[in-house]
Amino acid sequence: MGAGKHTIVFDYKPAEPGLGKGGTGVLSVDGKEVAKNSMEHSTPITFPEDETFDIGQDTRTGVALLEYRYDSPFTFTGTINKVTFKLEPEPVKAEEREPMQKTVARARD
Amino acid sequence: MPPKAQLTPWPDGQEAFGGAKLPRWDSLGELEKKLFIKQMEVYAAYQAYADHEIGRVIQAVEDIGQLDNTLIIYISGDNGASAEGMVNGTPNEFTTFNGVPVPVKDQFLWYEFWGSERTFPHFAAGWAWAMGTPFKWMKQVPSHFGGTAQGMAMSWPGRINDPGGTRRQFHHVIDIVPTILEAAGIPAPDTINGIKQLPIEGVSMAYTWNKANANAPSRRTTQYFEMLGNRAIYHDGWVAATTPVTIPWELSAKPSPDVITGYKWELYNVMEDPTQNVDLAAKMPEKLKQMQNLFYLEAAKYNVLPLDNTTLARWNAPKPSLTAGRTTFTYSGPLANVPGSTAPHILNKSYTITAEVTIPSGGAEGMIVTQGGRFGGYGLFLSKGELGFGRGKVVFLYNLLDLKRTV
Repeated sequence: MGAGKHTIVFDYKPAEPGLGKGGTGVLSVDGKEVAKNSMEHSTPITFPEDETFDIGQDTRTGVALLEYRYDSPFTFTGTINKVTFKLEPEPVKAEEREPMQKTVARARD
Repeated sequence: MPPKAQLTPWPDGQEAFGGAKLPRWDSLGELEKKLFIKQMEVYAAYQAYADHEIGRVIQAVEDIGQLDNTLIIYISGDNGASAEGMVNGTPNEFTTFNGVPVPVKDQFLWYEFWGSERTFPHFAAGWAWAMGTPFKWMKQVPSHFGGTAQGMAMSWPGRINDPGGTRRQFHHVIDIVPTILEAAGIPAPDTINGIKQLPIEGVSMAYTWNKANANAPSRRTTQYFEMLGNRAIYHDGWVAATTPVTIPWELSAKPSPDVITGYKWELYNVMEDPTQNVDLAAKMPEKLKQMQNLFYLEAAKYNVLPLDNTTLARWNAPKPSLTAGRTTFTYSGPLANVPGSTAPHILNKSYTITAEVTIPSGGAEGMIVTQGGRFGGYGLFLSKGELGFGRGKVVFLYNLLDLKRTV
């Protein structure tokens, strides 16, 4: 990406409704696709609760291990003007969620 | 344990354990044994470390000449041993919280650095049962002593006149505060900052410090226990307890039984049978009924009712949250440390992240937006590159529980 303003978009769609299903993500810059990949599974219930959501830096530990490894806080050296998340409804049935939630609730204490 | 205490049986699928079953050591393969030994070695090292550090605190009190004048209450845990590693343990406990078991073979990827910062490990569930012995069950099970009984030691050389003595009176963790209040000689506050306080429900254990009271009857006569419907009542040396309907190390897909009528009850004389080994429920139905009635009286008195073993209603009940139900999140610049509960919840759904950035001349690197970290999460960033190559590439990295990363 050259100097100046750019728009980066990551668009993700699960392959099917349900907990922890795989899906496909498309990464684009200024409207042009730069990467596309699929995964077989996703995280069904929760991301680690001792980590947080950060913009322009990564507090605590980083998500990368070997490939693209970085040291936290890995502060963004450009300027972030705006970040937007748009979420679609969650197509998971309550009956499917209950046993999973129960496991988590019991373990939380 | 008193000499009459009996070792309770291993869970081999007996009805008395609701069908719970854990592999016996002799049935394990070489690979499983090697892994499970490592898991326990690391746990033991943690125990030794904790012991050492607590020793430093106590040494510091002694160094300032205040040990004789200091009450130290040491409790060995906040529940029974945890079975949340599931049957085979895990290098990362967030796998359990997501209902994902990690096969034994796969766990060897972490074997060499088990217990380092690269892992958030948990031992196999069989260890939890073993560590709960001679009792039955473990953490998550409030009905049985394997889930609730803790070793506790108190020290106050200037006041306790029976150093090294053992006490067997039944007490509950809510008796700690009244004990401290009595030691300090101050009453429980009636109001704090103008707010009326609820009465303290515990009773002081200070009477046990006197050698003359070594075998005095317990001043706590009754205590209820309850968690997600599993429950028990202690009263005057007897315990009535429900048999757990969910297994702590399993992801249960079974529907919950009726919370009032759907549970089997057990009955124990814990004065004679301190490990809750011999179930007297079938022999003494009248005694069991009395104890069950007492449970409901206590439950009503201490706001335990209504019992709820569904969790679904709890989950669906709206909690105070700035972000509940929100589908669009807009951030105008850097920020840090937003808890997961108020971050955009991207799991199990379609979503679009749009980042508008300005790149300086010479390019940029760094994190644009991330949630999670080493043990799971995602990041959208510009790569830092290696040795001057590959800097500034746009990357979206999804870390599935430290098991698989996808870019």
